[in-house]
Amino acid sequence: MKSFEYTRPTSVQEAVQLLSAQNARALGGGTDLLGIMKDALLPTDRVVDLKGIQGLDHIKDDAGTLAIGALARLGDIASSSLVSQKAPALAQAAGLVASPQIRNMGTLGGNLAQKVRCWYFRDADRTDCYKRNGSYCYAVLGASDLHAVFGGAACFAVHPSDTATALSALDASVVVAGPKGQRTVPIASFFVGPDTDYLRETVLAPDEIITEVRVPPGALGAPSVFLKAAPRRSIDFARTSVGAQVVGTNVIQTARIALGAVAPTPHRATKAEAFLEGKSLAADTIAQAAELAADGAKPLASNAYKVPLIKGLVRQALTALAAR
Amino acid sequence: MSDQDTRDTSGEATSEEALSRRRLVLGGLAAVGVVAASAGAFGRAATAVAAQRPLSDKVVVTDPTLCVGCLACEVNCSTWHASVGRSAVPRIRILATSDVKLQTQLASYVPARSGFSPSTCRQCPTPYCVPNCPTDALRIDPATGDRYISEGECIDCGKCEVDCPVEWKGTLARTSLPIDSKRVVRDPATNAYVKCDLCIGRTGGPICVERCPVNVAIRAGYIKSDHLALDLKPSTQEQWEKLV
Repeated sequence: MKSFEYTRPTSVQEAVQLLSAQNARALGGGTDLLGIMKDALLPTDRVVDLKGIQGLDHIKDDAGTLAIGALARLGDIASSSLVSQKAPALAQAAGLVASPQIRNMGTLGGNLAQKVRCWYFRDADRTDCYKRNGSYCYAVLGASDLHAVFGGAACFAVHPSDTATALSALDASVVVAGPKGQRTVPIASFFVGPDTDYLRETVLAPDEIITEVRVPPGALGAPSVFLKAAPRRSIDFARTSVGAQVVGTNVIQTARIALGAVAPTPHRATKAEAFLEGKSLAADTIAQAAELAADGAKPLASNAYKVPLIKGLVRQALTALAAR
Repeated sequence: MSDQDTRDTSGEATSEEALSRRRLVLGGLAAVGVVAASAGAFGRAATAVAAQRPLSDKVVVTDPTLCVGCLACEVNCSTWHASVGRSAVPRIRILATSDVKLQTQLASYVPARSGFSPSTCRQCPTPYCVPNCPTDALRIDPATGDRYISEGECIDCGKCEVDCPVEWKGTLARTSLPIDSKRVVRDPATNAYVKCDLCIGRTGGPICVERCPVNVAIRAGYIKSDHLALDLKPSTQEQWEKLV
């Protein structure tokens, strides 16, 4: 691994200041960053270890809002009774990330801010990949098993985060700190697609960090669920995942269906959501919503399997919610 | 001889005011030619009629049957232009369309990726947009004939948009939203008008042609085709009539 400067700030302000240097990268649990550095995928001259900052690993009820610090570990979120009770989809998603070892290292902030798992991006020799400031996407006419069926633009890598999918279904917000202070970004605009900027996956500037994730009271306590399909049942990234939530007893007031690993950002199945509103979760309604969730998918050469996977997972998720 | 020197004002608005404005705008260079009554032929009598100008050496020729809708052209267009301080609005757009059949080899490989039609400025042999620009921001490159906008000099009057004879009408592949606009478009972020400038100033020519992955596959021999998905061909009247 190339040598780098290691820093361990004790405050958010200090961290942001340290991140303003060129090729400085934030370290949460390190489960993604270290792989990137070992393979020299992205130039890294300074590592800013955020774990020295106190008070960013909370999981608490903040006047009705579920507030989770960016440094809260995925394992702690998965086993939190507060999260399981208030936002079950998030607890389930956190519990399905990788392995116990990784969940005990990986943080919520890091899971949201991780880089893509595209096998071409992760191949150290493919230096012309867009994500590495190159000029070509191998997936468009190559092996596209892992890639986007919605929203690809030049680059077709998908966002791999399970918690992002769950939080999209829960209408969460992400609190971001930077040199100009703090801002709160709705999760729907936190992730950016390659048509905006193929070099990044989120709105985070290089000198910004996530400090907290907030799930609003409206989403709390309503039934929600997260399901994930991957070739291996554990220690694997999703090939397709779904986070779903319905608010309303008998008749659905609002429905949220977020799909993971099918698009460069968490993909909201807005047609299915609109279709569900005002209806009850009867079997035929669920079947139609599942079909609508895959509407508009444009698979590449080897990811068409994601289309039936989306339909199946949405059907399973809504069936699970109907049983609550 | 500069483009300004060769500016032909035949068919210019006939009022004295308009001629005066024109002389003023051109800094006294307006050598007003004989008015040619050709406007009616193009149905454009209300505006100035451009005479045939030196043709552009090149125009981007698109083939929808070779387009898989990956949007590399749009994204790279935006990224490169922004990187040289020009507007980030894409100058090439891919419309979704149901009446395109993908080339056989591509259809067997990526069957779901059909129904895309990329198109851009046609570099008209008779460029209506050029003569009405009051600041001469719309220019013809004397070396290549490339019709381009010097965006920093655009005053946002919109005459070029009115004069542009070609449209984007349909559904954008990128957003699935409807589009109904000319191929000279306004960028609200810069208050300037934007069109394909064939990446003027870029070594290697238009970035869309260079980076189209289908083009890469054709050049490498993986896809058999005697032409590219986004090709560069000499701009002629015959070519213009065949453009998408």
